[in-house]
Amino acid sequence: MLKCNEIANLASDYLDKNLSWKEYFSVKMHLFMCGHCKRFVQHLLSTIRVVQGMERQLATTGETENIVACLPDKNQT
Amino acid sequence: MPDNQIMQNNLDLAGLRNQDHRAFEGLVEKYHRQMVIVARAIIGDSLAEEVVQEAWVSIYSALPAFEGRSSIKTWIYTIVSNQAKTRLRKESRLVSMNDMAEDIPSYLKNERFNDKGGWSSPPPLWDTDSPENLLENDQLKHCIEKTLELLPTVQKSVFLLRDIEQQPLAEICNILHISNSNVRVSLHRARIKLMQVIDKYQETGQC
Ligand SMILES: [Zn+2]
Repeated sequence: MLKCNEIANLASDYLDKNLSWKEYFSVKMHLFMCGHCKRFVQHLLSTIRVVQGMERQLATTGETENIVACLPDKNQT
Repeated sequence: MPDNQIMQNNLDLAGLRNQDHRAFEGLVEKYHRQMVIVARAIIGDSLAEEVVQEAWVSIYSALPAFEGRSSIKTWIYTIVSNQAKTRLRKESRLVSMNDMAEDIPSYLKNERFNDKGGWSSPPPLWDTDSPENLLENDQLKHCIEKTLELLPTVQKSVFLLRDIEQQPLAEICNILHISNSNVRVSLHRARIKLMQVIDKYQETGQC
């Protein structure tokens, strides 16, 4: 049976499905029974979604135009 | 020529080899952000944009010679990471790739747990854990942005490549030349640090 501190360490691997089936299942069982860890994993997932929602476009159209404007002439072959 | 030789990931390879500007713009739009992340991981924030600009010029010049033995993505990542490394040597300014000894967030230390490994200081309740609701709070977003900016370079790069650019872990190992376990540890620490920003904001109303 996994302990809460182990869940805290495995939470990202759990969300990324980066665990063996056995580990994954053990985490799932723990979350089924432990409200604190369930909250922890839920908050971690919400955090990822929030930052994804904040994603700003770095490569704006203007930036692409600048890069293209600075290109050398076509290679003479 | 088989179709996948002409079109790769919706890119017009024939146009690219012919240095067609429209095709090149498509390439820049698709990969510029990821290139900046790769360059930042190697050379740091201040010079990354400049290195990427130079890398695009090199890529453009080299396109007629691109043979398609590797994917175009791998090819341009190799060019930008090589140029960033060359520039790093020139600047002779060492940007440490090793931030594993960096401050560990409290959730990953013993201080929040009792001797038996159970919570002694469990995660606090949030008013809401719905991303939509949290995103309505501009002050909170500002706090998250600030923390993201201040993350150690590798943690930030891994987080952006994984959670924003949705790159697979194996690809991130290749791009940043770090081990799988280093990627996973860095990603987890970055996420937890960002989560603790929300914890703190919920408790204090401040960053
Ligand atoms: Zn637990």
